[in-house]
Amino acid sequence: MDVILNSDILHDKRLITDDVSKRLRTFLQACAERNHVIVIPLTALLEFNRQQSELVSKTAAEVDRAYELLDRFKIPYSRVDPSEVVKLPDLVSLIQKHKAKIVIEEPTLQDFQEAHRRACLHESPISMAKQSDEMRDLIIWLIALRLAKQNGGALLISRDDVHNNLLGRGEAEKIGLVCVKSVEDAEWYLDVDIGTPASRLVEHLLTTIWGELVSKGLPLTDEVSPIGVSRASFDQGAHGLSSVICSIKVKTRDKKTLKANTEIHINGNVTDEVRLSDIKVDNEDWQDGFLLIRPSKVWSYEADDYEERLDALLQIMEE
Amino acid sequence: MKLTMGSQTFTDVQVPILWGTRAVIQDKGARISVIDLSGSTSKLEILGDKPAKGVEFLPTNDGFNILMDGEELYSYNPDQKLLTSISLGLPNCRISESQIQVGSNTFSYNTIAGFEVGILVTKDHISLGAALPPDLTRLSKNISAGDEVACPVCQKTFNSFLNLARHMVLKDRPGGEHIQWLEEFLGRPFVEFGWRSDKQIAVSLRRHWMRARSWSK
Repeated sequence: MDVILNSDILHDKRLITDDVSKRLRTFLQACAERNHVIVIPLTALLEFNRQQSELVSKTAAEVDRAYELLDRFKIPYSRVDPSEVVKLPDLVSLIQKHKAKIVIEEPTLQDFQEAHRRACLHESPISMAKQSDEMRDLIIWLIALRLAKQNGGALLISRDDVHNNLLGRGEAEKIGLVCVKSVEDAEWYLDVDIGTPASRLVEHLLTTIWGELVSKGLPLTDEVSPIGVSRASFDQGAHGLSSVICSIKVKTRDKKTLKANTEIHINGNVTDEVRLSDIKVDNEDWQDGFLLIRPSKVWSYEADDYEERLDALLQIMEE
Repeated sequence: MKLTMGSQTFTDVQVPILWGTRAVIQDKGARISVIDLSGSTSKLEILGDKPAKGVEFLPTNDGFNILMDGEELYSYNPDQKLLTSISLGLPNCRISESQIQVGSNTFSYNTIAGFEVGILVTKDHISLGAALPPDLTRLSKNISAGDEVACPVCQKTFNSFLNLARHMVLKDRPGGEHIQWLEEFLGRPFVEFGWRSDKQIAVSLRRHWMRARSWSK
């Protein structure tokens, strides 16, 4: 699927020197693994370059000021022209670095003409109340519509009101254009946080106590549903995994989305304690938002060879 | 130490490969271990191709990432014996049967004898045969499993301040003992730190612990 990124998603407060933000990086890697194509409208690329160019100028001036300070105190240093080291980042290379396929999509003449017409006539998706004449947003909208029509669907990630208001929704739905406001929402839509090694492991751990979660009243399906996992951290104990802390999301039996912060403690091959907090169903608090289970359930577990591996290391260090 | 690793013969060396501050050692089963020498003791992070005890990690499609307080430091692919920097700023390091590849440099069938470090890899350069940088601890068999930190309320131990912070925020919210302790410690009400503040809380906890080595106020 084409995943179209607006400039507000690419925006970075810092001058990008080596890589995009960690959040975006993870998303790009997930898209690459699933063969989703990252589409940057030329309009968004130009905006990104303009914003980063301002940071380039600011940073180069900072380097010059640093030189002045060193000169003032006669501190020896090797001078390098700031323009040689402070450079505009190449967004295409930064995205390709994560093996993601990227296309820079130029607006067509028809895109321009249609955007011009809609801007002048205040037609959908521009809100009359907003009195916006923002052509850039309209051009990105028309590129997204065109790609969705060509390919039978597309995903636009944008925080902009023009792309997310109700006026444009009908037009988008007809041709399979889905608009989301954040990378997190895009991950949920694309299921890129489901089926990852981390989510598989959490799912495996929760499978043993799924029945208890249901019996405690969580509105889950009777069979285990795929679980999306984010912000995960796993701890290794002496005999394998000892705890997991993460955020989970899962579909409920009435197709809503349940989200919760989750802590799972394991002792050997026994799941000792599972603690869910901030439980929300479709962003509404579920009861008091908290559930504690002490299941003492055995989960299938690969016998750990820790001692043998440690002996092998110590042996080589002794030689 | 005497061993053959990636076709190099290391004789009388203390650390065969020093990748930044981390010693990389291959055992006779061709499994890789990584030991961080930047602390007061040697801290085992990877033991024989798997995350070591007390280490924070994240499983990935081709192995796992090693984390510290939620920050991903580097990844390891056990099949390819490949260490890839995420936030350490180091070139990749791969140990295959016939060579050791560091960034774009390849080492094959060298003999390195009598040096503290066999192959030294830093952010800026790579050397064959070097002294151990003075700020690093010497590799010894007293390998620790990492510092554990105890919860000031329930004394449960954690291997990172981030996990301690998450535990304290989640344990008995919104008004339990853990939250009350945090409110007093941070000088802020629960509503201001109850969501998405784990990292800031971890940093505050770490700063306090490093200064006082105790939770008493």
